[in-house]
Amino acid sequence: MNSLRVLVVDDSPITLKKLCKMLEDIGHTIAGTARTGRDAIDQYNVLQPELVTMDITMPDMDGIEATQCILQHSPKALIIMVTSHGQEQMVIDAIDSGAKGYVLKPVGEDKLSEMIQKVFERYGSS
Amino acid sequence: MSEERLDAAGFLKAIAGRLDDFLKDELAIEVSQTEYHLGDHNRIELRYLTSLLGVKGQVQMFILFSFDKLLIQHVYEAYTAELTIEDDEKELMMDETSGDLLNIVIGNVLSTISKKGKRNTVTPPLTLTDAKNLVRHRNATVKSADLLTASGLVSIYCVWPK
Repeated sequence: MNSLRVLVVDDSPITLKKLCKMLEDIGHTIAGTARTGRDAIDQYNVLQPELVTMDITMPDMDGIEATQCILQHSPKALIIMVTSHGQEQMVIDAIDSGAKGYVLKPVGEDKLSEMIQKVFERYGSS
Repeated sequence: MSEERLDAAGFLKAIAGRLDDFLKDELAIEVSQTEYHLGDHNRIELRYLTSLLGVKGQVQMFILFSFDKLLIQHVYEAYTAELTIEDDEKELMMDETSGDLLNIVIGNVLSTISKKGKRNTVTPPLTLTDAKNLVRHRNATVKSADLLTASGLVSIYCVWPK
């Protein structure tokens, strides 16, 4: 898989650092980071990344709403939820919002890499 | 939320079990003993660093993790072992470590109790430093568990309306 430009969204600065390091270690480039849902929308519009990793619980706007907003304007955006919530209804809501994948925290490199691969095999050429 | 609708002891045990697993599997920190305090508390005695979050939905509750100093330092070192942390970021990152643990553990545990079609949301975590105790409101119920490690204790408190 080619190196992707990734926007990483999470309200926790330590999780942002961990995700950025993992993504770089598996060969991707960090296009930018955001710590709120609104900031994620703004950053997406400016940076036009090839992939977004999106937390769900964030101040001002959650990741599900931010995903819906991004996809309204950029229907081909590839967004993977990276969250601690494994509740069935949360997964359903995330997929309904248009997220293409769902990774449960705590995140390891293998789990993240595998999900990115799956999402790109299924949606990457659309 | 009333206990008729929530098995509070079971929920507390699920949180303690998930935290035990997280400390062992992710951070190589062994819990030697877990002690439950299922009677009602009048006071919450806080340790060196405390994170709290609120859960809303099927469960309505505040949950706190309160760490001894040596333990949170050990947790922080293990959690950030592969990261570059600048000296001026260390204090913030230790606070964030505590919040991250709380957020991950509670997010994971909610999946085990959530009913079909119901969604429990959580607030972003808050971290308290230099606080000593919280006094229980007469309409609140408090139950707790202490997890003992070689570096000290982490206490879990669940607080919800009667």
